[in-house]
Amino acid sequence: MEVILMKELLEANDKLAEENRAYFSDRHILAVNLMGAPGSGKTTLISAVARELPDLRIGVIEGDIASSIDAENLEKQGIRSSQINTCGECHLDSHVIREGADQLDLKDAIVFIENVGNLICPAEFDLGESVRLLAASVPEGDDKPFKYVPMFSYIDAVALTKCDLKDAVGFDTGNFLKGLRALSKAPVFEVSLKKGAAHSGAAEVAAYLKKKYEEMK
Amino acid sequence: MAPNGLRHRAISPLLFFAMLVFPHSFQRLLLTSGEIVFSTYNNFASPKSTEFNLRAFRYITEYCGLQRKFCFRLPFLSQLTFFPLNVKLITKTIPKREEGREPVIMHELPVVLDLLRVMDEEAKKRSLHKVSRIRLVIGELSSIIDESVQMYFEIAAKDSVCANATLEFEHRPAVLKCLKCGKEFPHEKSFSCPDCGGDATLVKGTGREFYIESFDGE
Repeated sequence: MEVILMKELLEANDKLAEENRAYFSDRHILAVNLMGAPGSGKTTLISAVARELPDLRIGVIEGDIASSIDAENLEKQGIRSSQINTCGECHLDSHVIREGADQLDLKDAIVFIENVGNLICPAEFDLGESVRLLAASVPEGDDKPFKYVPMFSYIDAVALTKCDLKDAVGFDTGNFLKGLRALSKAPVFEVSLKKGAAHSGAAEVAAYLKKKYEEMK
Repeated sequence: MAPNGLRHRAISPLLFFAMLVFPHSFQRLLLTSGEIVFSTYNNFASPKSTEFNLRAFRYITEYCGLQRKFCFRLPFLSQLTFFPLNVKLITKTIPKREEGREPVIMHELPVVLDLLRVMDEEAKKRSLHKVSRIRLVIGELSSIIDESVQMYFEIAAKDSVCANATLEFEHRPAVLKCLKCGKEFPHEKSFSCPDCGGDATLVKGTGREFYIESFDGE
């Protein structure tokens, strides 16, 4: 006999994501799922944004398949971090977020969840975050929104990093925006965190996140 | 409380003590089983016992000198429990780790395990003893890959009600809507309208499907 089911899979992750959402809300935490390709500048962006928000408590749940380089780096800068190693799993999912959050043990804070460097899989797994921020770097090319449709349609905001390299790699901002706009209304923050850059753009990202945090009250 | 849940609850404290008393034998069990130790097929455990199990698991992995990575090997599952039968089941399905090779598990594996759990429940509900065909709908924007699902399914379904079942995959594209002429079209290669060439925007929610549409059973 044929049975019509229409049953969602990935329910387990989504259920846990909702629990995480409630957990963050109870503790007045703005959870930011920061995604991007490997080397797109996620960790650097977190440091820069944290420096722009000295009055706010910042925590980071670091996701990598191996090593604690990023968490150690951030701790050295005085940013509270907990490292999660997925050992091959190509993205973070809801279950491990709770572990990391418990380790941080924060309230009234902005918590960055720095996802595993990957432009594909994290767009499938809701972590219970409030903001989905993508670090898209200029050297990756202006055609990425056309190629990585799941990710670019998933996010709430884009930090376009390494803007000082636009000329060097022939980055067409118009083309990038064209691709993005077909998929999302996400604001784009142009950022250049190279030492000595005149205007880093980190302040705008910080202001955006601060606004989101205050809207949570 | 279902019988499964009772059995699971009784075993967990025993297993906990066994692991304390015989840490090395258990360590051997964990190592020979490869990388996956704890799994669950049922959601009958209460949140409290899950909490207990998670703490015990953390304690034991540290006590036995095992790395914490075992904690996250199957992070996708809704609960971690100690359940000896599940350990056996999983060790049958996952190949032993080769010396020096880091095993990589694609995220289709937890998806398949979840699929089998759902099929098990649904078959029981309807007193079916065999599932012959399952139809899955996967959206274009999903990162789930048919071949990986098929691969894990063939191994993991062996002793279940879905053994030898055929998987059918239906793909749904993301749908774009032209901002100029309003035409809706499936995303193929371009974001531009096939009729007027205008810019288009994604119709929210399309392409993200991932569900079991139907199945055949007897």
